[in-house]
Amino acid sequence: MSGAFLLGAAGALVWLAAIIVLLRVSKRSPALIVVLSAALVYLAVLVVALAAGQPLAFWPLSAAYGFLTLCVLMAFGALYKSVSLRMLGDLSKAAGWALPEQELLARYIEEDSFGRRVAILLKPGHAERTAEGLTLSRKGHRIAAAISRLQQAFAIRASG
Amino acid sequence: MIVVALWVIALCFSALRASSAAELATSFMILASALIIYLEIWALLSRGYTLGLLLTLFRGKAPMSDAQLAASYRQGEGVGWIMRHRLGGLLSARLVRRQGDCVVLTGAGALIGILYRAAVATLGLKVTG
Repeated sequence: MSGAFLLGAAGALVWLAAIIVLLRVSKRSPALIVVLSAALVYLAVLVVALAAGQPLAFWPLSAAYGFLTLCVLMAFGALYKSVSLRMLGDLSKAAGWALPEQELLARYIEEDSFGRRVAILLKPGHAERTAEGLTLSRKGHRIAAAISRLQQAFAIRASG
Repeated sequence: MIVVALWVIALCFSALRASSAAELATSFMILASALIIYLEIWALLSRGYTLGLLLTLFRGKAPMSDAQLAASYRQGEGVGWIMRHRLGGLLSARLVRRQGDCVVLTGAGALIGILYRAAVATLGLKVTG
């Protein structure tokens, strides 16, 4: 069974190496790259385990690979999208590790992050820019309604 | 916490006890993975900035300009709310402190900021936050 753990851990390491390369060379969404490559490497690890001709300890192998990749995915999500971490990163570059509070507000929220989030809604067609302003597409409306229902199920009153 | 406590209690019953350390580790990793997935979904629903904008447009019913969307965000609190909320979190975690009109990193905050930049550089991420 420890062999299955080792194979799962090796698979997670291969995946980590793969995403470091893929994130540099691919122009696709980083989130898509890490999730799809995790699934593909998992399938490859299963094929390798079956090809080895030994009895496959499916659950220990899957548990080890799944747990390690999810830990990395959680950290990746924070690195990729966290406003708080970005503020800490940018403050650590500033002279004296300090920035005026209003500059932080203008730089990260109103100009940079906000504009990028609106672009994320526009690009896949979840929202459209019309003469009257931004509006949800039919697809965006369906997704928003589903998220709203999910929030109710989780007893979340507002997001952000 | 409840789920972890139930798992520990279940391990105390002889019928449910893990037969080996490897089986115990497997069950722990499956439980931890399920908890991570739950927490990620919950975090996305409760703290998602983009989802918040999508829901603002959904609840607004009418088309909005960028300025109106920014002002209507989070039931009228505006996008500045995120800044105050995240900054409040960093202040209470003592990763930053206020000094006059400025926000200044503490030692722990600077360490996390430097590690964050190193991780972003390692992964080759061009756009973050």
